[in-house]
Amino acid sequence: MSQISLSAKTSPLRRLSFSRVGRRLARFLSFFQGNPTGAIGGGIMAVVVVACLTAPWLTEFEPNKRVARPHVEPNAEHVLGTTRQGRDVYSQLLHGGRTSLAVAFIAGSIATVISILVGIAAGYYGGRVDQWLNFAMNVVLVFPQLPLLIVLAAFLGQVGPTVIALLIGITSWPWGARVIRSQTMAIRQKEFVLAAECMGESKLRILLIEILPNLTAIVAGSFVGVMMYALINEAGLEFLGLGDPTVVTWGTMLYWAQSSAALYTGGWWEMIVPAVTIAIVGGAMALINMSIDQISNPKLKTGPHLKRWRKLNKAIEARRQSGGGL
Amino acid sequence: MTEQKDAIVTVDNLTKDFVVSRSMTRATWMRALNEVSFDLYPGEALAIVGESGSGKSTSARILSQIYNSTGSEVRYKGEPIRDFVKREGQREFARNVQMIFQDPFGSLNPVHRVFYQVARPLQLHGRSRNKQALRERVLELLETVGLTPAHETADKFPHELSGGQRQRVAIARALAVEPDVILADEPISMLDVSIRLGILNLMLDLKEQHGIAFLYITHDIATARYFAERTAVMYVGHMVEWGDSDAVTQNPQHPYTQLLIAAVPEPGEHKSHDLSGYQHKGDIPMWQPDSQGCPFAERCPHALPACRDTMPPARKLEGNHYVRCHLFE
Ligand SMILES: Nc1ncnc2c1ncn2[C@@H]1O[C@H](COP(=O)(O)OP(=O)(O)OP(=O)(O)O)[C@@H](O)[C@H]1O
Ligand code: SF4
Ligand SMILES: [Mg+2]
Repeated sequence: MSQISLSAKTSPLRRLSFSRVGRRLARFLSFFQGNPTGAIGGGIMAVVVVACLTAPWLTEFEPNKRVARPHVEPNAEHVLGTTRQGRDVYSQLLHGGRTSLAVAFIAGSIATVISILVGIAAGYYGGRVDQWLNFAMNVVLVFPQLPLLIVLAAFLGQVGPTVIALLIGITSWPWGARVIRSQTMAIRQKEFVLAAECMGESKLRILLIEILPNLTAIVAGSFVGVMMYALINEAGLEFLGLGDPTVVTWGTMLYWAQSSAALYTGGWWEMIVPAVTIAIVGGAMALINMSIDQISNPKLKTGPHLKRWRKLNKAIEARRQSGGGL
Repeated sequence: MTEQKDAIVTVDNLTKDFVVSRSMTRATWMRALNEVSFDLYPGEALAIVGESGSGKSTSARILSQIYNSTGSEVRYKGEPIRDFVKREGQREFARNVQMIFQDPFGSLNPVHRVFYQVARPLQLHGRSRNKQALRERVLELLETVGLTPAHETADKFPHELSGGQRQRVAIARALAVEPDVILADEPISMLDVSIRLGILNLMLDLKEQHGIAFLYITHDIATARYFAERTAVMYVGHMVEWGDSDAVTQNPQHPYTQLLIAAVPEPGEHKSHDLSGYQHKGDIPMWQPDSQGCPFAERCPHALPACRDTMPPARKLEGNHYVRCHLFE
């Protein structure tokens, strides 16, 4: 009797947790279903991230060592050629991508954390808290961001990737904070928030467990947005020579290509490779962002609805024309 | 109502003002509730009936402490709830007075499973000894409200349920901590007509079997009589007539109650009511703290000169049937 109940207790539990993982995965994948923008963007990002993370296995060359003659054309050994200093571009691309993506990720995380804290607090508490936080948001918003970054970077002297990530992170949270704030204001009116308050839930739990999960799409959207912005601006700062040129990133690759006049001396690949990569990765992030928008904002949704709408329009048009002909 | 039970919640002279607009120099106030008094008894329901904006939800929300009252004496088991200052007492009150909301689509958080929604109050109020016991209790509650098979429902998200099922989840959540009082704010008005009776009967069971006191807020005077022993009719923040549901609905005395009942499209007895005396334009006034007279005077076909100047006092008719109208002086 006890044996039976024991086995009956454990096995469904195990099956349950297994099917939960499966369902999670299915839900994650269903995000991309019928959502080509997201699938393409996510696919590109996945390939790039995996390639950068596995860089040591994908290339034998050190990114920062002279491994061949300068400006060797792309060939079987150096698939993307070498730089003016005789470094392997392919290796630089993969290793530099680690740093560039890390900067984007860290900046995105910092900005997202600040925007969540500020946005949710302002939206939930309202009143004085909201006024002050709104004021802070506006102050940060009115500074033109890229010039500010240039001035700060120039002031600090050639800044490393960590400092760049910090700078971008703490200057680009207000956009996310605004959206999160307004969405929080809408959600806090909902009855499930009132119910949680009546129940005696703590404020922290209401904010983080009742409200925040309802903001996932917005938070993800602003995270990817800041990542994209950070990727491009980090490259921009380093290209201008404000970054630390001894660190390999996509931005310093551009800097070296520029300072060694790669395009004029025939080493076009040294310039084109990082430039195109930044464009592709930035574009992939934009695609992901768009697909998040489409999902969280049903008005932008394509698919069967739009098709039906087009069909209906066609039918109306056809009827009108045939009616006019008669 | 023949034997005298002790009221579990007593509300005396509940008044609530809202700021309608605020300018630099002064704020405009509206009085959403004016001198509202009622009692709730264990195992009995009080229905509050009235049209939109009459302050029904506001009274429930003050009882559940979502809003503060402007002035009132609310007592729970004889103790004023303002004295529940200590956190423990506050919790005790929050546990014992549960609310069911009108919109079953808004009252359940879409990101949490049914299990979480029902388990959460149990955890919060220390009713869960361990995981196994918690799950069993949740399943038991889901069965009580008729959501079978319970273990399947428990793992669903709210969007996988129908409106009626969601409302049952909301009821299970309210029931979880074994409250003394349930405040049901139009619990069936957003549901399909076909499933309303099911929810109403479920609440009837809870009332009778668990001895829960209900405050049942509704637009619909017919369900008030079906569900509640007593009925109070509200008009712009005032209780205008109250008493045993049968008396109030079958023998309405206040002109506003008569209008409400005549407006119900009921086949048979009430068919040929004459509504021609009632003024429909300029209808629902906004009550302000310094407004005077009977709130219904604008629309009342029997209005007397006194009606515009003085608030009619409560008059007792037979039994515990009360009315506030100058016609009964
Ligand atoms: N938070 C608030 N701030 C300002 N005014 C409010 C607030 N809540 C309610 N009111 C006002 O108080 C009055 C009574 O509102 P209440 O929600 O209690 O009405 P109700 O009887 O529940 O109506 P319904 O049947 O539409 O739910 C309304 O005029 C409303 O505009
Ligand atoms: S007090 Fe006067 S205005 Fe009010 S309901 Fe009675 S008769 Fe009508
Ligand atoms: Mg209401």
